[in-house]
Amino acid sequence: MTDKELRKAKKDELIEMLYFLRKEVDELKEENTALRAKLLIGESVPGKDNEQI
Amino acid sequence: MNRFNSLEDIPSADQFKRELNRIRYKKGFFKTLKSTVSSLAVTAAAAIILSEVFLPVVRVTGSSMEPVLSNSQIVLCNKFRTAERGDIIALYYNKKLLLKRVIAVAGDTIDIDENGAVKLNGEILDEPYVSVQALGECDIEFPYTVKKNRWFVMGDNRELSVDSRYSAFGCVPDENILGVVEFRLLPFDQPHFLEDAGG
Repeated sequence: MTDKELRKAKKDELIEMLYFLRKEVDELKEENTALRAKLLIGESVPGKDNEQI
Repeated sequence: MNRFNSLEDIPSADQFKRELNRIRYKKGFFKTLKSTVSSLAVTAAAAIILSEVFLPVVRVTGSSMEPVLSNSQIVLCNKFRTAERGDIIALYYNKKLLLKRVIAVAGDTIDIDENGAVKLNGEILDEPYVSVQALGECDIEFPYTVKKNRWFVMGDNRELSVDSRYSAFGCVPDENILGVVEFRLLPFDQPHFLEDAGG
């Protein structure tokens, strides 16, 4: 998106952008939480390889 | 200090989605409203232009055309048809718009007796649209020949109508004719085509 397009963007377009950004942030947050959990499990099991991480 | 310092300060995806739907519904509503209003405006403008240029709408005032046309009825005129004998026409007289029936055209000779019976070119005229024959307001001499580009008109209510029988009114010149009355718009409970009403 160019600066001009951003300047001309309407309220509903800006909210749509925020909606998709928020959705992506939420998904990334969930993915991050899952990966953190896996990492913790790997650290707590002795002798287990951390190859999945 | 910024108002939004963490992700928790920002509305959730569901809130954004709801707000987006609300804005789009509102936008759609106003778009529909705008298109409806503009369609109505265009239709009204077209109707006014059509009425002014091609088919003028005239309100009947007075009782000179009874029983075919009564006071307050609304009729539609055709500007592009040349009037013939027997047609009802809308005409301007002293800046007023009147409705009268064409009885004779240029070159015709007309004679009306004291009982109101009309003779056109030597033959008695059959007038089913007239309820009571009468000579009415008449000060012209008969037989009377209609001059070029003139129309001899009379109201169907022969007793009350002031028309071409009266010298101050006279025959109607071409340029004073607005159009031929073709159709009755109102009231709905009476025949719309004047032929069906005995006109």
